[in-house]
Amino acid sequence: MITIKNLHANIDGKEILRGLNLTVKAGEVHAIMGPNGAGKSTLASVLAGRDEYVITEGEVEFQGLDLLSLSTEDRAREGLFLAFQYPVEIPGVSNVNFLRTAINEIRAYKGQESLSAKDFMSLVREKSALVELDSKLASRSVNEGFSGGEKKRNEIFQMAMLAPKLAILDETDSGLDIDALRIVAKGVNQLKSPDNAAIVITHYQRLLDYIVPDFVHVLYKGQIVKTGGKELALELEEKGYDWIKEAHPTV
Amino acid sequence: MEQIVAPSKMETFRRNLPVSLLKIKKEDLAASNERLLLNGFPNSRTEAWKYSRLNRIASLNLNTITSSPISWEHYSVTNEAYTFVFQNDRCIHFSQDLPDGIMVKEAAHLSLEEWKTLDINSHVIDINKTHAQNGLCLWLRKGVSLTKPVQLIFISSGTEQAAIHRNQFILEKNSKMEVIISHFSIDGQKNYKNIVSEFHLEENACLSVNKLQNEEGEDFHFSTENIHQKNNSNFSLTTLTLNGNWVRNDVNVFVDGEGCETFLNGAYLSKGIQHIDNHTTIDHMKPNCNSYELYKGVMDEKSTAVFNGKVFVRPDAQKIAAFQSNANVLIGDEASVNSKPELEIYADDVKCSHGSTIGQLDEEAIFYLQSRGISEKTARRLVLTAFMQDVFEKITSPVVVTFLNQVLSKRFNWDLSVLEED
Ligand SMILES: Nc1ncnc2c1ncn2[C@@H]1O[C@H](COP(=O)(O)OP(=O)(O)O)[C@@H](O)[C@H]1O
Ligand SMILES: [Mg+2]
Repeated sequence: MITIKNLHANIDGKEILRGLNLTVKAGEVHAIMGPNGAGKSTLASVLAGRDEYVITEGEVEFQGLDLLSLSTEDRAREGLFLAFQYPVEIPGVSNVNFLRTAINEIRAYKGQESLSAKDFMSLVREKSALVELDSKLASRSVNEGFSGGEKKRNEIFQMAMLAPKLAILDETDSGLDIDALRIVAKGVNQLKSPDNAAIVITHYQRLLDYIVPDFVHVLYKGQIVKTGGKELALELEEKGYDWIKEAHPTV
Repeated sequence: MEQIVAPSKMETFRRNLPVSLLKIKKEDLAASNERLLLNGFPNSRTEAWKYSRLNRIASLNLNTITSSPISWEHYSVTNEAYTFVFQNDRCIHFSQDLPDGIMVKEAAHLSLEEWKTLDINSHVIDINKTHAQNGLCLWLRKGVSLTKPVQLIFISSGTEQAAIHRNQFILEKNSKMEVIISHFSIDGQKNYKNIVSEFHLEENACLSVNKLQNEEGEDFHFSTENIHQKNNSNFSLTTLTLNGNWVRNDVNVFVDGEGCETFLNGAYLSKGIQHIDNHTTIDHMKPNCNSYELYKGVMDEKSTAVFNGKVFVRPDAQKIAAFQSNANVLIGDEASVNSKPELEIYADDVKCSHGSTIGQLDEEAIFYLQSRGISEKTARRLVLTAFMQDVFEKITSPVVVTFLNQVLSKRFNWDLSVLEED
């Protein structure tokens, strides 16, 4: 699905990703954990195509394509989805109308016909029910006046609407209560198939009770420094990151 | 010995302009002539003209040659209207099939007594008074409600042509109508347009004016709207400036009655080297009134804009609610705007608010939309359209909305339909 090789990225001259390697195959769920400031969000942003980051080395192959040469929108059209750690509010742009524009631009890119208003609305109903997002929120301005939890659920709603090949969730669980967490997990698990994959960035092991990862990676100082099975998440929960930091004082 | 004095810029400017064909009081005319002679063109030290320099206008070599005929039908915003068309200095179409309760005359045919001129001065109004060629004057009788709008179309064509007109609308008690004033230019080269319109709303009258400015070419455009409102009248003006090389709008509202409502709504979208200046004044002279003013602009490339909005609340005008807001988005690196909202309140029991913002497009929002598969171009358009939406929403005339959509998609590549609910 995606192969990241020796990825180096900096911002304002400060190197944040320092030779990161990661391979995710179709059908897999990978969790990325790591202390604050390790570069987790940077990785997600670089993959989504945020252009403030300068990539100095490395390559990313996504479904046979050179991901880094694609525009942000083409990455999305090829099936990459990022659930933002901090979703922005966009006053005046309605959630459903922007999603309809998105879906139709994606379909046009693939040479498919536009979705009819009727089919689109029934998709909205189905997917908003899945993530238990109030249908009123679905038609409001994007994230405007949403609570933290509503914003995160809206990300999962959009993910469900767009049905990506590879979903990257950046701390979607932070600040969520247990019910919201279950809903988010339901959205992700619903998407799971042998053809799709997910990268779940999280601080807490508890999300991984609901979304069971095939691999857990520790990202520290811009590199994946440790990889294990789901039991690694439990170990990190128990012991914190100090033992990782001690083992890698000068990465 | 006689001293030789070089003629002032104003004298040179007016040299080839024909004298006014309207019957204006001798002393008014004399006063205007004297002010023009004494003061000339305002310079950059004059606050009201600080950001709109008049040098290029002062050096125009204007004339009024008979222009080649044009067909105006193409410029009509709607066929369902009583339509009056002016090309440069003359009237080329004057609607005849009017219903009972409305009377119209060409301005050149008005008697002295029929003019109801508000006491307000500017060099633009003075030039208009001394050189106006024609215009539309209209009386709407007591209790009459027009079902179709009155449409005025001003088209300029040619080079350095002067189009100077004066309109007067009198809405008697309990009458109601809608006016669409549109401005176009056919390959205009340095034409000078100066249109003054006065609107007199008697008790309980209701008037909605949509002013559409869409002039191609290199014209200089001055629009002045002076409004006088009596008790319980309702006035709304929407100014849509969608094109125009150099545009100055002056709106002066005298709210001289209780229980009035006043809405000033403006949108200006510019690119290239356009310059668009909106100056508005709302003078609350009597108590118990509401005014609501919202102007928004998007400036691209090297274009410049000015907004100056004054709201006065006079000492005895209690219980006034006045809201004013001006918001701007600069999308061109070299675009700029000067925004100055001014409140002068001399009464104590009033609710007034004003605000002005200047910003760039939210790049985070653009990135967010792109990350969902939307092209950068569409993403920018979505965010911009959303920004303008509250101004556009206030347009009640469906034909104006259609016109707006057409211009937006043609000139700015926008598509408002993406915002519409199914
Ligand atoms: N826009 C930015 N400008 C400057 N530094 C940044 C920017 N974004 C992130 N950083 C820095 O990069 C490092 C990694 O940040 P981030 O990827 O957000 O970490 P994480 O998501 O793992 O907490 C931090 O030291 C952070 O301060
Ligand atoms: Mg982060």
